[in-house]
Amino acid sequence: MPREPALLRASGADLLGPVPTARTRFLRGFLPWQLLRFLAINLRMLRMIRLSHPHVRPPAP
Amino acid sequence: MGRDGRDLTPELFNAAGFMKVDADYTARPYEDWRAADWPRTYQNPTFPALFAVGIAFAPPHAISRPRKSVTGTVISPAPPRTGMPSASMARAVAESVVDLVLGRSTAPTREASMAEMGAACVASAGHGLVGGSAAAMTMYPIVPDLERYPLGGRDPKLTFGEVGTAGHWIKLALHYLFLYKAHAHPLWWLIPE
Repeated sequence: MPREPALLRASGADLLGPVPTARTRFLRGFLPWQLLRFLAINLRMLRMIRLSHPHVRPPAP
Repeated sequence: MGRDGRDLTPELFNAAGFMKVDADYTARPYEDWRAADWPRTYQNPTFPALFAVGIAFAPPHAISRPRKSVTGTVISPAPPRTGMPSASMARAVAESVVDLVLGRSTAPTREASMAEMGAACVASAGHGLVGGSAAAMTMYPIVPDLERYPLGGRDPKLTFGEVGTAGHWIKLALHYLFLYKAHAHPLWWLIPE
């Protein structure tokens, strides 16, 4: 029987992904911290939007 | 078909059916891809009255090194061209078209290259103001620019992802903001795409 190609496996002990720590999981639902993160994420998004604004070219005659 | 009966398909579309615009479609190896290959005005070079944005325009190439699966399938990631990026392109093209129609210019007056614009995405992972959760992520620029950002092609401060209740609040706020904008209520234009 042919072996299944290793890269097609959807799960397995050899696939290592980042796992959140207990502290991270707690902070994800800790409202005072999330309020700060809400402000921080919004500021980052606004900065990104400002940089993404379409550039204006001078009109061609 | 053109007025003279000529087939215009090769001038207008690439092999996959996407419309050619002001991108550099010269076939090059991955090492020679540049951010400058990406379109800026989305105007077709042969037919200046035609523009294509979002998923309609033909990308010059993928945005990361093409790979092959073990079964030989080519994996060639195209950039995300829906949502926020398509709205930014559409706005730029609409403003260019206004200037062209009103005779203010004979060439497009707005540029919105995907190599100079970012994108944000908020994916819900639970509802409720207190117990809700969502993954909020942004990246800048969408098309990696290894000349400006040699370490990976993107700004490390503006390319991030985070899971938490704050993401749900952002999703909720965007929901109401976009509905407000869609209704064109006062000052709607202040809300970004």
